[in-house]
Amino acid sequence: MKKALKIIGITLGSVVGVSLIAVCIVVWFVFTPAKLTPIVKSYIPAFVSCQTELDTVDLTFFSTFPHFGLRLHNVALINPMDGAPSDTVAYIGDLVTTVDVNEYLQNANVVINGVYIDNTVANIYVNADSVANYDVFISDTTAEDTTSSSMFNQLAIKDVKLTNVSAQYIDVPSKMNASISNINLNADVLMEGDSIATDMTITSDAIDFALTDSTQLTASVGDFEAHFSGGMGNYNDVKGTLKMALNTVSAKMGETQYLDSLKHITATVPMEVTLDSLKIGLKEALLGINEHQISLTGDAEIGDDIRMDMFFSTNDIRLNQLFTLIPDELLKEYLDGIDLNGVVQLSGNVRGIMNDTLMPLITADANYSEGTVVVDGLGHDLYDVAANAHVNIDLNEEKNSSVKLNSLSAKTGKSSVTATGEILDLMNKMIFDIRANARIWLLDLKNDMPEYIFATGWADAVLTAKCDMDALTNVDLNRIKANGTINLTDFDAVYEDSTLVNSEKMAIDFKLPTTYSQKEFKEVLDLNIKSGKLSVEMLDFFKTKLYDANIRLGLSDVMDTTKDVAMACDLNIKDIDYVMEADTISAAVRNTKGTLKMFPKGKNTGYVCMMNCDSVYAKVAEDVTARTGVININAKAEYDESIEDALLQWNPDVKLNFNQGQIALSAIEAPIKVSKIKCELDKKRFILDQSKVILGNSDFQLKGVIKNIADYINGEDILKGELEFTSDYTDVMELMDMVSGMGDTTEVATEEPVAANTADTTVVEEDNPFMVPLGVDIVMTTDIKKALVGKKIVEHVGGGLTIRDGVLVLEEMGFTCDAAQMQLTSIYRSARKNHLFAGLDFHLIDISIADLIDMIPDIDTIVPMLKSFSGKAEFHFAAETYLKSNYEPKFSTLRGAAAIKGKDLVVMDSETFDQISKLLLFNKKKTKNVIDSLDVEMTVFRNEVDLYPFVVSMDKYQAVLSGYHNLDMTYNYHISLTKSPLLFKLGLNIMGNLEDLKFRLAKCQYKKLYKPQKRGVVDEQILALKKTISSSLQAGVKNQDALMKD
Amino acid sequence: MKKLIFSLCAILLVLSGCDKKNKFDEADLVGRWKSGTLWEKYSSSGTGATWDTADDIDEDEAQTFTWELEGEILTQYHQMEGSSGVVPRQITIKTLTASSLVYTKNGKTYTFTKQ
Repeated sequence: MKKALKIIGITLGSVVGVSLIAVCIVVWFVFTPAKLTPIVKSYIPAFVSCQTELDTVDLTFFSTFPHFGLRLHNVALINPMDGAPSDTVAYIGDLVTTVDVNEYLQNANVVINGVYIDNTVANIYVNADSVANYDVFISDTTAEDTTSSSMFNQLAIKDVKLTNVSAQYIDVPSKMNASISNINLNADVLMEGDSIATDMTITSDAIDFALTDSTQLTASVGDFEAHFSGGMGNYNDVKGTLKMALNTVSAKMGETQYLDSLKHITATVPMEVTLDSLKIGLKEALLGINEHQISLTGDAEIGDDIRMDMFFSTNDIRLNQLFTLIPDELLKEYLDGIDLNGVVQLSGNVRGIMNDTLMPLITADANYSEGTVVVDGLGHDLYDVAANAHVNIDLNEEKNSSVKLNSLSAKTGKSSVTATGEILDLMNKMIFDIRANARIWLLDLKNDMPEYIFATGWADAVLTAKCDMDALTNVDLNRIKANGTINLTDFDAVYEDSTLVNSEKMAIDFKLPTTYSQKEFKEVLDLNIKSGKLSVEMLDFFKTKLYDANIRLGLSDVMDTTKDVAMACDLNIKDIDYVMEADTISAAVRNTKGTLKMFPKGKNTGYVCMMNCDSVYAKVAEDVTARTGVININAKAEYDESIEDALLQWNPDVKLNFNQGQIALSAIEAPIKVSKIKCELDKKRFILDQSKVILGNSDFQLKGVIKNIADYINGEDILKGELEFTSDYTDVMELMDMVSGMGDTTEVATEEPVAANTADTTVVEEDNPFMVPLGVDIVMTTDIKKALVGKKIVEHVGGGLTIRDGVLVLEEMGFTCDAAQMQLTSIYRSARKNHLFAGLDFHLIDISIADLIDMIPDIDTIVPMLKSFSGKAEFHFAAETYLKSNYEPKFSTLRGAAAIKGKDLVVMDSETFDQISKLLLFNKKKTKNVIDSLDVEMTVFRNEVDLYPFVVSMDKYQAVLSGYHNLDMTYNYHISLTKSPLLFKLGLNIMGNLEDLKFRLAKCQYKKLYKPQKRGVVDEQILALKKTISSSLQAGVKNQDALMKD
Repeated sequence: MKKLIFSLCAILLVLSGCDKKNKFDEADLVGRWKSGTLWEKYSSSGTGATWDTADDIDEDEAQTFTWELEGEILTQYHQMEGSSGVVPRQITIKTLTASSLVYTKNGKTYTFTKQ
């Protein structure tokens, strides 16, 4: 065995030895470089047109053992060109190729066991004329035999290695520079028939690229590695896996730095490529940028069109890591002031045809979670933001692009919001259809609200909204559809530090656009407000509380700055409590229902108020208290701020009804009961259709019309009015007592000595007397069935009250009572505040003197002796005076006249009569104290009352009385006893005051006055004056027949 | 003689009557008169006016009257503004010159100077 082994060993050693010797002979002596190099050089011009250099060509064996190889050393292509960085287009230090000759000889297989290229440099240059320095290769014009199978069965390139390859590329027309250094390639290629299998790896230390055109793009890659393992069938079907890794990638365009922080890009791409159709199939191809990955599965076919059906899916991408890949400039442009964080995951599909006119359909599902959004100035950070959406992008029919928001949730402060919905026409109009639920702590929205609004409380909102982006960004309420409900809890709001709104619970339903329509304006927004208790307060002005309030508020387009806001408000409020001005005014309104409207009308503002309520209680300090039953008001107004007068400025058209009213005034003891009022007011007229009032013991109805209101205010016409005052019963004195002193400020006039002045200098507040309006012609006719005057009932009181151009006239007021038939005319005129005129013309027919004094007590002051008579009389009285502003008479202007006619009067016993009787020697016991007639005339001038002589005949006596007295009740009277049983005529002077009357016998002054045949001139004058007084007064009885009949 | 004495007496009576009727010259009365704050104005047409500035009344607001002078009796007729009533006022003139007017009424004396 050993021997055999020895023989075999010796044999093999011999063979090897012989072979080596043979190889050495071949390498060193047969195929020497000196022989091979010229041969190779001789072939070079057939392939290359430029200058070439080749140092040596030698045959290798030992370095490429066990195969022979051919090595070219220092190969250079030299093509000088102006501007080129080098004359050398390419330089190869060493190029070694080994071929398995036996395999070719035995099996007709081409087996290249190795291709080794080392130390290679390429300088590619294209000059400005687009002439390239590498354009030196000569094309083979002979017919190419593509049937390689005829030459070999199999082509295998087992080991291809490129080491230390560098290249530089300069393209002047394209302004492109590129370089790659230290390229190393290691590849195995096996070609068998139509099949090629390869496994190759290529690396590089650095790749630089620059475009110096307007894009100013520069890019660099640090180390680069690519590996492909796969094969090709039929020279057409490529299948394999491409793996790439690029580290330290950066790019810069202009001044914008891209991919500055990109550590590495990876790709693992299992692929199937059909070359003839350029169809690429990927299966879970994985592309990675730093931590971010995207997986691709699908296929794409590149022909005239690109057809693709590619599914993609990313890993969870943290936005803060993703944003590091985005240049700061872009971040500032799109996310300035926004700190967005969270995790995003996308998966989807790109399917369809892409060419010049078509784009594939993109669908994707996006998940966003763990999100936080911090926006500078927003004032509240969003956290726990999450969203899930499905996106459809159709670039062919952009209106088909959409996003379906499966869910969205976010929180801020104490608030949270969730939403679902979709966005249609994503690429253009972006039509939102959103449904959202929110629970909002209003303080969280503090920075979203105007600074003059402060609100707290909870708002639970459910809303849906549909609109496009344009409508949303422009807040175009006409193109936004929205509705929802906001439930407010513990709601407090402050507006401009002056208006406070509070409600423990309040619900607001809104609808946009509204389903309501208004004839006055286009209603856009509908708000329904419901609150069990709603408080509104304006500091230092009013407080109001609404209970069980249902308020529907319709608004116009509040965002339209070209028009004033219009509103319509339908109210249904169970209770309204209202307090104003430090509790001085309060009101309570029950069951208020109705409509309020405010809307622009041309240049003006229109108002509508249609309201009714079951009752109103109002109180003004301690002065006024009012209660009403049902109130119904139907009002319109048009406000024109260019007009000064309030009535014309508002141009109202008001219809008011209310009943069961009761008003209590502190100045009037008795309550005012208004059982019904129905009236209308517009700028032309005021119509009082109905009014029934009970005031104390009196009742009355007032109705009529006031016309020409606007013309009167404009000074174009007088104010005209016709009113009817009807009453079943009127207590005149009670009414006068009630209104006496009303409006008279003299009660509060203060008189204070002024230190620097005399002691009697006073400071008196200005009075405010009633000023009869000018330019007014109002007539009020009265029809009072019964009136109580003093203690007397008068009936059928009829006449007219006229206000005409500054004069108030109570005109020929006629009435009857059991004591008399009467007529009264009075005038009040107000030329100026401190010069008022009051006049009275009063006629009483067939009145008891006692009743007369009872009815008009002031008569006793003017005719003090009248109370000495008893019986029926006829009384005519006229008086007038000017008044001061406090209604005190100006006595210098006092004028008056009275005429009293009586028959069959009885002289009453009195202390004064007793004294007179005693002095004039009356025998009272034997004298019947009845006088036949009495005819008295008197005048009042300033503060003096003149009693003109009048005769009194009583039984056997006749006396003439005359004299005067002052309004301070100092007397100077004279009695002439012109007929008596006495033989002489006596006179009696009565002087002094009521407490101290002096009776003095005197000469009889009127012996002849009532003896016509003996009268003197003076007597005639006296009687003429009496006639003048009497007849002038009686002339004032305009309708004596009617007066007497009534 | 008796007839002569009777005739002289008759003439004296007539003259005295004439003197009484023309005791004062109406022309002297015409003008504006002032007594303290009280003013009266008489015009030749038989109209007049009175006002008292103490009551914040000036001439434009004066109350008017008509007047007649017979002997020493000056009668003012004050037609009331608000009714048909007339208030006569009889005054006894004591002095009437071109510059002075003195009259009495109800025991009071009023002294005016012409303005």
